[in-house]
Amino acid sequence: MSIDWCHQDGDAVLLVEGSNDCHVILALCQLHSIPQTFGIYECGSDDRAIKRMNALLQKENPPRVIGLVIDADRPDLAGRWTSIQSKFSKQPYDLPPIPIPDGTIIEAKDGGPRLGFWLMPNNQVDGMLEDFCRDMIDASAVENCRAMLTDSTSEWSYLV
Amino acid sequence: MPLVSSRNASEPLPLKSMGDGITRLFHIIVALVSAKDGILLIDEFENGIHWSVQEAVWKTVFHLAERLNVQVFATTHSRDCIAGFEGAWAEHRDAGAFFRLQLDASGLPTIKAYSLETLADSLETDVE
Repeated sequence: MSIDWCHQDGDAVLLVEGSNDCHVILALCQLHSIPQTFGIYECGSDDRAIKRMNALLQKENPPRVIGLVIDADRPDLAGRWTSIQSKFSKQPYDLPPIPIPDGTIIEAKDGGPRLGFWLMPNNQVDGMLEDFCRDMIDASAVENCRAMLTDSTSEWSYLV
Repeated sequence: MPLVSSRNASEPLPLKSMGDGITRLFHIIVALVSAKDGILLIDEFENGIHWSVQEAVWKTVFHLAERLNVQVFATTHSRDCIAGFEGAWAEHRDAGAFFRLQLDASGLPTIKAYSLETLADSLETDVE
């Protein structure tokens, strides 16, 4: 049986919304040769990812590290951060008033799991995974792609 | 022999003939009445009760415990029982509490308290 890389639990786990998020992160890890020291778990939605983080904190043997990657939408960055803050308001964590641009990493006050939060695309603006991906693309690559698609002699012209 | 009179039957029927679930429910209710103004301990709450009616039984327990002034302590290992409890607790927010007993690394028993929200999150995301 093949390994389901998007449903890995363990001592260090990264919770994501859906399979696109999982596969983008897997590809980035591969590209940058990030060692496999954590598992990725696809939760099905942003709300379920936040709920799973809360539930994991309550476990008998919680993970050592729990990360959360969700979109800064539905409705926006501020709204998402507020829902995260309210979910963890009764837990031993001090969340900053706004997300930290490089990703928010919080240590527990009681020795519990370390938490990490990344709101797509960059913790500073509203948006989602697709914006994060777009920002990685070089402008000339987009131009090349457009030229290929609009060139009637190109083998890709049937796509337009 | 305990008999049950039912709207659906012309004659009283033996309690025994109605299945383990009804017998269990009867025991719990009689125990609640006997424990008026006191406490009731129920071990393995779900025993004999079909998973689909666990929430209804919990609602009955919440209702009667409030009316008879009984504090109920119940233990379970059943996820369905916990899910049923969560459903009933959500309707009686000030009347319930949920704790998990576990052993810490040194083998000593410890207690973890759950809020209603955290219990709901744990059940919804299957983290237990």
